[in-house]
Amino acid sequence: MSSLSTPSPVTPPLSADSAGATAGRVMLRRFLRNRVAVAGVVVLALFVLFCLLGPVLYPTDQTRTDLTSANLPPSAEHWLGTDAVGFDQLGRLMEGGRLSLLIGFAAGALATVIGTLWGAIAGYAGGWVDAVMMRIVDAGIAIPALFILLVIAAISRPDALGLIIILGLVSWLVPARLLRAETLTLKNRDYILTLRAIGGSHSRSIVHHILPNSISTIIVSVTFQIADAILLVAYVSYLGLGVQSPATDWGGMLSQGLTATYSGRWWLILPPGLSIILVVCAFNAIGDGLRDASEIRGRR
Amino acid sequence: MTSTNPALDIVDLSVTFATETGPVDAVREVSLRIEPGEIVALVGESGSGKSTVAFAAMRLLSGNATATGRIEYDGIDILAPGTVTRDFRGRTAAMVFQEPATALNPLMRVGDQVAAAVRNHQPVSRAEAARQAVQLLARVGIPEPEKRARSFPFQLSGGQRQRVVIALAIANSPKVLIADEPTTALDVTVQAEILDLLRRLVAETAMAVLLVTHNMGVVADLADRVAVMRHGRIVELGATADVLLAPEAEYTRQLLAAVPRLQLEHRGGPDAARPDAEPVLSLTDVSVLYGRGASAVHALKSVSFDLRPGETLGVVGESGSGKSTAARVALGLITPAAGTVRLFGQDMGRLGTRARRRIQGELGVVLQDPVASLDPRLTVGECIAEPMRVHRGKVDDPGRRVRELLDAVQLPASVLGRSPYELSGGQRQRVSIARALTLDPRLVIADEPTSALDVSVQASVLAVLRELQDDFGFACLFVSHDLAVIQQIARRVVILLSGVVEEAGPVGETLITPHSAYTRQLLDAVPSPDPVQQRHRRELRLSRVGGMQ
Repeated sequence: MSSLSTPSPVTPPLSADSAGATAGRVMLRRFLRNRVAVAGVVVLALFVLFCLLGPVLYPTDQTRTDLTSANLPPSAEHWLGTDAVGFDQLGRLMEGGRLSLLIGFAAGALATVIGTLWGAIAGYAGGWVDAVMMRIVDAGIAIPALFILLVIAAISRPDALGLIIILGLVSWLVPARLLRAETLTLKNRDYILTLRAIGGSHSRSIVHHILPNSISTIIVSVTFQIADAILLVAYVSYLGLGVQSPATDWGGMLSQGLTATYSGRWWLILPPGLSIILVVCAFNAIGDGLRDASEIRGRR
Repeated sequence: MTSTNPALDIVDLSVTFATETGPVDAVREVSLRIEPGEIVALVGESGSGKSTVAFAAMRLLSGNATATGRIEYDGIDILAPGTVTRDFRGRTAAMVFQEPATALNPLMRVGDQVAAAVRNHQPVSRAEAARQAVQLLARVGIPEPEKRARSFPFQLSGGQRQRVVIALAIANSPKVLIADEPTTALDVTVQAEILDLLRRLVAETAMAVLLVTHNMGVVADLADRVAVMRHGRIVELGATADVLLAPEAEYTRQLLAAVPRLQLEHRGGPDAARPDAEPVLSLTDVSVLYGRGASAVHALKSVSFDLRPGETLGVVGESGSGKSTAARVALGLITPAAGTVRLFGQDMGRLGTRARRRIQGELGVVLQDPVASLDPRLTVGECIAEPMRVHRGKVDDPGRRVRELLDAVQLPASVLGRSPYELSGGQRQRVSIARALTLDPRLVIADEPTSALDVSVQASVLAVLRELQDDFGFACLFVSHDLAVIQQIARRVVILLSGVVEEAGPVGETLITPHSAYTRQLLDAVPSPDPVQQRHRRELRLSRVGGMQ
């Protein structure tokens, strides 16, 4: 017991403040310093507000056509004009944006959930389980997602829910690879070995330790997945295989506006096109910012 | 050599790092002077700023560092702008880094790497540079230098790689050699050889050496003078014998008191375990293979040992000896290729999942790395409570149990809600010990639990562990590379060499009067922090080594 009186540095003061913030706070500070990423958050927030609250301030009828007011240019009554069947274009932009964002978020989240579980299980199990699961991913990546998507969309003419599921099912492959790599580095950490040695189960290792510690990878992945999903929805709808009228999304609006390219009705093309570009760029900027911010040295 | 200037003169050096959480003063007003042919050691615990001084002296500080003061080589201040020419690093000063595995280019033959260093500074032909490279390799004691020059780094052992790194450093006869923990990544027997090499090179070339280390034994073995650093300041500076034998600063005294010293004589006292009790852990003829087919490596070959209730068994060996594999086999993390592992009398290979889990609930585990041993996403309280979540119902009041354990490892209750991030290495290792004891285990398996810690922290963690063992009465399998630590904590010892039990027996006999030549060699190689004793031990070791050849 005498040896307990060893030198003082054994118990330095618990230095929450002097050693600085916790990982989360450091990450937030780094993110906030990244102007492009912050701009992405602002743009995205504005779009979400626009799509959700916009119809309250600027109510329009998006279910009944009105051929008497078709193809009107922007005016005080219709700020962005009307389309070929008389829908108010600004109101339609909100309506379509809601669907684009919803499908994007949901499909991105679904893809990340599937990919995360798949990758974590493959990486954690190792051996032949890993080999089989990852060869399936390799095979999936070898087939262009857009091709599968178009075939399914052409056969089934999906609604919003259908699109979410299809998009989720074709785009989980990349997150699966990411999570497998992350799991491989985490599964031999001492805290996992300790847990295994005292009889902790595999599911506890994965759910309580590996997934929470992969959270920054997962979040970064989900932002990129959402951006991709919004683009994919736009492709599909542009080709006329997306949600059916009177429901619409930005890709569908773009497709309708295409016929007006040579008649100078720019308000049918520019607003949905710019919206897609801005939102996808915003998500990519946020993803970049999160990725940079989460690269904390010693984040183990 | 007739120069009146010191080889390296550091005057009022301060280094500040700009970090995200504000400026950090790593070095404060350090002054140090090294004469040609002199070896000055800079010792201190982690965070003392000793490596920062070394990096500042090479002008290798990272971009967020600001250095003030003067660092003069032969009268030229390298902190002044425009004074660092291409020849500065290599001809004036050269550095030997800690980790030889990452200091060499893995895709380039070592001879070519040394030759490139020669040609960087001397106008010689390729053939001449290659010839000099072979000479340099010979000079640093690499056997068959012509042949070895054509090897890639991975074909050399750790000690040979560090010799190549030293050859690179001395390729252009620098006036000052800066060695940052040059032997820390090496086994003790290899460390002794590298220290011999450095001593010989200094005697031959009159190089000045700035040796950065945390190991008092290395200081005693090699240094002429020593500077003890703490919190960025030099707290004591003097001749090695004076500082280590009659320290003046309180901090130096504390530091030296915490250094585990190898006992050279039998202290007496009971060494025998209770041979009657049934062993809690018993390995019988256990073999472990890594890899498959012809390339398979035997990590363990027919290893057998028993651990009895309440006893501490030390498992010692150098890197690659299989000591960690032995711990992992005992933990059930590695399934042996042959042999049986019995935990509490039950053959682990024959148990079903459920029975196995019940038995694993009687185990406590402490692993080496204080950074990786606790999940950073949990709070300290959750870390300690986790075993109770795995084995529900074994403890009545988990909340109270966690507080009791924190108390037992002498941590304040205020750490409960904190993240492991916010704790120091020693505090984290205590949390690991608390977690290991949560279920009141009959056996604790500790794999190098203190080797990543500073000596003073190590001393307190070992004291906590020993005290808890008295209170709780668990048996302990203690894996370590440090013979002095094993002597402090274990009653019996198993010495592993290349996966085979080289020698086993009571600590008091085996580590004082060993039977095997390897154990003798291992013991001789441990440097003593007493410079007088160390000189004597060195001569003894060299005469023994000479006698063997």
